[in-house]
Amino acid sequence: MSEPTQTVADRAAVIHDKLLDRIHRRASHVFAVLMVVQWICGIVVSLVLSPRAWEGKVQSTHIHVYAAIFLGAAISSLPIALAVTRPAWVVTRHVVAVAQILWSALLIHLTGGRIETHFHVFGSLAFLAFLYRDWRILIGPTLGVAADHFIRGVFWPESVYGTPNASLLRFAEHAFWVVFEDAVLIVACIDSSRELRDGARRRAELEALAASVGHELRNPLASIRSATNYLTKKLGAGKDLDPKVAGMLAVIDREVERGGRIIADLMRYARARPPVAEPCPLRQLVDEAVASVPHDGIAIENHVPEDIPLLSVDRPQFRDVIVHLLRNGVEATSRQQPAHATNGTGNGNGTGNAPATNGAKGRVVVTAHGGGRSPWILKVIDDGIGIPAQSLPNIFDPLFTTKTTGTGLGLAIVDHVVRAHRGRVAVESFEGKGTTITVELPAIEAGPS
Amino acid sequence: MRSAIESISLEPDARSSPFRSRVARRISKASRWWIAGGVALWGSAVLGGMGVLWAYSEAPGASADAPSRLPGGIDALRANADDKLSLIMLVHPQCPCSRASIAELSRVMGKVGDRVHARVFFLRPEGEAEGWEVSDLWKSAEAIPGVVVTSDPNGEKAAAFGAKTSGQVVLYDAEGELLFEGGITSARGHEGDNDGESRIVSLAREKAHASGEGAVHRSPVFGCGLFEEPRAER
Repeated sequence: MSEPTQTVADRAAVIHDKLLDRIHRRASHVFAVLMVVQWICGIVVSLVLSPRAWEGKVQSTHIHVYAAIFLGAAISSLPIALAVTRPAWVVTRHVVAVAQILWSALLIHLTGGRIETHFHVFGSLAFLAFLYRDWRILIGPTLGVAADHFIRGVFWPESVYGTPNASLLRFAEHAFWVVFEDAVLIVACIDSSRELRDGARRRAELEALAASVGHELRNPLASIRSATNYLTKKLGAGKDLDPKVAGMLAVIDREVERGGRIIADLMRYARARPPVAEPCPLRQLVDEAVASVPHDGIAIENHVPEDIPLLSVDRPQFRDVIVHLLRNGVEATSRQQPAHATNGTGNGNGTGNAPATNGAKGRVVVTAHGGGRSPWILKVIDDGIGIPAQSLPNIFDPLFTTKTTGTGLGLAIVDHVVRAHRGRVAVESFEGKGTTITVELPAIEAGPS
Repeated sequence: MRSAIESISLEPDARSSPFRSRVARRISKASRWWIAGGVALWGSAVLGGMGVLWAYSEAPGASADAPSRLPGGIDALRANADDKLSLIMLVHPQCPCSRASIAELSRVMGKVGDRVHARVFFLRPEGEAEGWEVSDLWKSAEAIPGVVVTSDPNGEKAAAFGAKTSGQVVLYDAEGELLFEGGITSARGHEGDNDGESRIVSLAREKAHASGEGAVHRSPVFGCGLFEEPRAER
């Protein structure tokens, strides 16, 4: 392997940062929802436990109700705003952490200091640590709890310890339990961070290996191809070339081409990069993909409407998706050839395609609809041999294939790219009748995550 | 058509824009100040709100002015003369803070229930129908073993004991001398250890007698007003 170690380390850092960013975003979104849930629970608790204050017969709304509504809204407001707009920021998770402990204090207050409500403190610390995997965000809440106990211990000791003459040992006892949990959570966070970094490094090394393999094999394959082309021209120029020799040369050329595809798939899968979206005319994209796929006598038809709205996707990646789908369709239809004679007799396919015409041995059709405010739906339909029912659950798994040749990475790449665009892929297939692969992308904000 | 071999690119993918992690992103100095200011403002607002809530929670109601001797009418309700103390609690049946007082009474009875006669009077203000005072608090008090729950029409018993705030407890010794007056919670509506409860338990365990020197134990009482009058300030 010729990749310098520094490149692998840099790439590992990028992968690690990306993974951590995704973890932080997801955690922030979870806490945003939790802030709303806690606010609603606080209001319900106040309305159930202390809705009214009384002076004899005169009643008024209890201050707890106002506190639950307005103070609860204030506590939740900034964390929600940051979690929605800046979910991956450092300040966001620190604000979330402090707000979570403030909610503990408010809920303890609204429930009348119930011991059970104090569990919210310890549960919150655990949620924060396990969702964000950042032990530093425990500092704010821990200091907040300590400050609250210390200040109230000085001015209102009975509210904390139940006696006006609490010793310092009581403060230490309360602090001990929080510190104890913090210690466990910090160790867990550090372990988790180490696992993430190790995973990122392994991934970076895999990418480097794939790139190195590609580099090492590229030139030899190119040399073989050049030699094959030369021999084909030389042996065939002005003479009748022995069909067997011509066949062998074609085999070499075909297998070298297949080797190149395998290497390209490996490198593409190993080094999947985040999509960079741009507006793409889908029909044109399909035309480009059709032009780069060997037809093998199969008719590939582009039925994507001309006026379909522009699709916001990573152009090369999405073109690859269509290429893989078309290639699979062509190969499946080629293998179904005996049922698709040029006399047009079809096999009663279940996927809606009419029998092949114009001398083609079969058809692969690309259609699409939607876009704008509706989800995008792209379909690649073939009337090939279909996929066995027992294989359908695994067809998007890397290295899974029902063919005797191929890497089993094509549909895995399709699935990965589509999911990176926040879409999904579905397959409908009937053995002996054909396959329909449907790619769905979300509406209007359709684009990469 | 381009060969797959030729399409293998070993050059850095020009479209791989550097991953814009939080490290790669630069937040302008001005933005940082805005963020810090926003967080400080938010922190001040919520801490101020919590402060108001705590201040309310720690503000006691008006203290009682209990008679130094157990009023005779109450004494007549005791079955036999014995060395037990008399514990009376005055409660507004709708006061949410008194839920904690009832819970603390349950704890007291759990510790020294065999040493006290306990009675809880639930206020029924003038003009309210019979049964108005039978609330969840009444049922909770009734469920405490050893506690007798009685209605207090027009607040006569509350007035007799000088009680002004729901949750008020008065404790008399076996001879009917006042030992304790005050609340048995540490803050409004808050359960948990508190000075009043500790005092009552220790007095009951000692089978205390009034010292005759006028040393009555007192603690703040937290609850709604029993009558329509301003709450005394701390």
